[in-house]
Amino acid sequence: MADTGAGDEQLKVTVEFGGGLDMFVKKERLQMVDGAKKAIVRMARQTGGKGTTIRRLIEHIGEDYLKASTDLFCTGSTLRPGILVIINDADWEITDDGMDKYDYKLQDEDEIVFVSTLHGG
Amino acid sequence: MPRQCDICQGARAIIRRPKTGQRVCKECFFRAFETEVHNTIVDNALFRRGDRIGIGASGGKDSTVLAYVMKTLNERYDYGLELFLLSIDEGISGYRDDSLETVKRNRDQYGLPLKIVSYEQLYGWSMDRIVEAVGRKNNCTFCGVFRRQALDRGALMLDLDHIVTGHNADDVAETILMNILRGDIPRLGRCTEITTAGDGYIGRSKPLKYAYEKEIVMYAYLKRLDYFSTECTYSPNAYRGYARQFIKDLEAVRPSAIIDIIHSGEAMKVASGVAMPVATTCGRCGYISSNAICKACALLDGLERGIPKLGVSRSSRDADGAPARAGGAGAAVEPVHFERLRERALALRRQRLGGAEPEPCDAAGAACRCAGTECQ
Amino acid sequence: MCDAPAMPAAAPARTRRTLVPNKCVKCKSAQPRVAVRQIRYCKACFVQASVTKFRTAQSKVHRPVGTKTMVAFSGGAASSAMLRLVVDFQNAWRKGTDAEPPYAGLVIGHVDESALFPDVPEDAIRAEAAKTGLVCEIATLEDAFALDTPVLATVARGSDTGSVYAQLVGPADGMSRKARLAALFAGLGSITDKEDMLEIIKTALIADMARRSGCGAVLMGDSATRVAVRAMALTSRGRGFSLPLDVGAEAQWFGRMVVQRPMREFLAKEIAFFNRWTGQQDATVPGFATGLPKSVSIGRLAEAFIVELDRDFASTVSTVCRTLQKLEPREEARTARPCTLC
Repeated sequence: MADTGAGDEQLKVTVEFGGGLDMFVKKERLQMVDGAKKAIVRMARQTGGKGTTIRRLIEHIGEDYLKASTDLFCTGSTLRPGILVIINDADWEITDDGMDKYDYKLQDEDEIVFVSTLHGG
Repeated sequence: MPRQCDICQGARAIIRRPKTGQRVCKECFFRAFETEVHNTIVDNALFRRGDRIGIGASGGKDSTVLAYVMKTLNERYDYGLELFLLSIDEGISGYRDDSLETVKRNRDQYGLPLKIVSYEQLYGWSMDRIVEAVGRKNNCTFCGVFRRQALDRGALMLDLDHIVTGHNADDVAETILMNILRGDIPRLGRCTEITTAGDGYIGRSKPLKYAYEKEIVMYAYLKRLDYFSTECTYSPNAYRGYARQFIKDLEAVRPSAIIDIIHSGEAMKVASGVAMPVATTCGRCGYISSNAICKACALLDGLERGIPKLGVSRSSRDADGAPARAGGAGAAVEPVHFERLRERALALRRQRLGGAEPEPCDAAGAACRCAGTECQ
Repeated sequence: MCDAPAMPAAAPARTRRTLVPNKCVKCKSAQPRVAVRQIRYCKACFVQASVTKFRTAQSKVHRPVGTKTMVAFSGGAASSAMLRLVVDFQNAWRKGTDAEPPYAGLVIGHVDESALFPDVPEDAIRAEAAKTGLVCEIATLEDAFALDTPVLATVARGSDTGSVYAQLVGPADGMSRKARLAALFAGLGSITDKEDMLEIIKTALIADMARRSGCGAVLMGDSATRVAVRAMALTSRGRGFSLPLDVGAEAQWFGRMVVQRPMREFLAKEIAFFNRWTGQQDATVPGFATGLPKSVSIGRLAEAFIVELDRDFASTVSTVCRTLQKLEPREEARTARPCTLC
């Protein structure tokens, strides 16, 4: 799908890759926003099921944003252990009771940060 | 051109030994493997001449190789040991019943006497029934605790001097990591010992402690040993699975890692001043325990009262006050007291030394005179 | 799993917290922003709790009286957080009070790894150190060839990298130190050996800088997560005998130098949030295994193993750290690192 304007069918979020994760992201996907390398991600809004979840975002990044086929960011929609996720300046592990953190429903203009705490980069 | 054996330089090499990197022929591999086990036995003075040794036999690759090698070495080096196969029947249909058939064939193939003791007979509960009562989540706890005691009970029934088990280098390495990960300091100290005091009863040792699992599998395969290779049908311990995989990955990166972990474990020293549990005996069955009631009795109690979670968690606080479900699930078999088992073992020993035969037993229950060794 | 009461928790007197649903555990009013070991904090309370935890831990340990403390600083997340916490602690002390300041003197010790890793943002790291206004000792990796031989000999002994000592003190054959360093690492076959060698050299350089600048204590920035990973890697490399020295909260190097690891109180996750919310800059310091699959080295495997376990069994890292605290070095480990100061 082409990245032309975020219409109603498209959802727009900003994604930052920290702790060295930017190394795995295609250069052309990154731009400087407020002094940090970020990617503006536009995704098709999913109306059915659980909506456009962060699980879908991780999958999408894995398919379209990474340099080579690598499992250093995710395997399918499962994030590599040791990578933190911060959604709008809050830990993604803070969820409503019983909710799977992967089921977080993305909102327009969400700021998502992935930070690696791993030495292996 | 096929490569020659690094040892004999004659025959064609067919295996690369993971432990040493040597490429060796079949005969040299057998010899090297057996000699290493022999050296482990001699260096650690595991046995004395005339000892009655029970080989913990599950029918799996490790214990089958252990039984075969023990018999071979006993003859080759004239250890003068009396060997027995000792099997535990946990009562897991589709798994243990089949593997016990393998052990029975091993009995005939190696000409070793076999004793089978079952959970059903010892505790009144088979694993199948335990799983029915507790579900699949914690059943490994029951099985492990019961097995530990069951081996001691079986050994006393046979009046053994020592038990050998098939734990290999991979198992020992895995256990070291598990104990670090779980913070089990007392076990971390003990798990690397080749011989443990056997919880105060019968000494136990692991002659295959330095043998790689890979080599054991190769040995069993090349010797065409008859073993059973199905995994337990109940869910394996997930946590242990991680450690297992880690060790396999390490071995691929550096084959010596398994032995290195064992050396690491052997060299770890528990700081003085760390409180260790004090051993006492179980008030109910006489087994060694760090509590007034041993773990097996606590678990049985929970099963009988229909609150199987009892005894699974670490604290026994919730034991009192927890309401017993009316009727419970039990068909109680009070485990035979260890004092009686020991008396019986002594009687058997006197008989072997020329004394009178112990009184035959014909009545189970309170009138039993054999400590459950015959009448059940 | 491991709620055995025998272990002292980070806070000395643990009082039962009253939980207000969906509020910070401390102030009970703000929206929680981070969950650490299932406990939820708001931003301000999290930062405050981290500072308190660090100071409490640092107040309990003993440093040789009157000697300076070296803060080992790589520029990475954990040592950046440590440097900030140390400096804040020192600055919070008010002159004129009766108590001694927390540190008799502070020196930063930094090892410049750019000879092996040209991508290290060395300028930014040095600028970050300079911001503190403290004296910053800097050694480059190639300085290892100029070290006093006893330091090397003692640090390298008992390692599985073979003739480290011989290689570092052998004849130069007219090569520059940088070329010798490159040759040394090129000669090591596996990434595991390279990681091991790098660790040995960095340790020796830090110890040497501390000694030369008159420091009696060294603060190393290993986080709890890092300690657990290193413990697994060291165990797998047959170095279980020296775990208390290599990852212990407090150990003696060379007889007299005290080595402390105050960041052991923090998970890597806590450090990441702390830096983010205090605006603390940190750098990504690459290693030999960066960007490679996990099967390239024992260190990488150990890291993958621990973080995966910790994801699925939340208390893994903490439990490993507690286990390590109950071990003490064997005689071999002590004699492998005899005192080179006296």
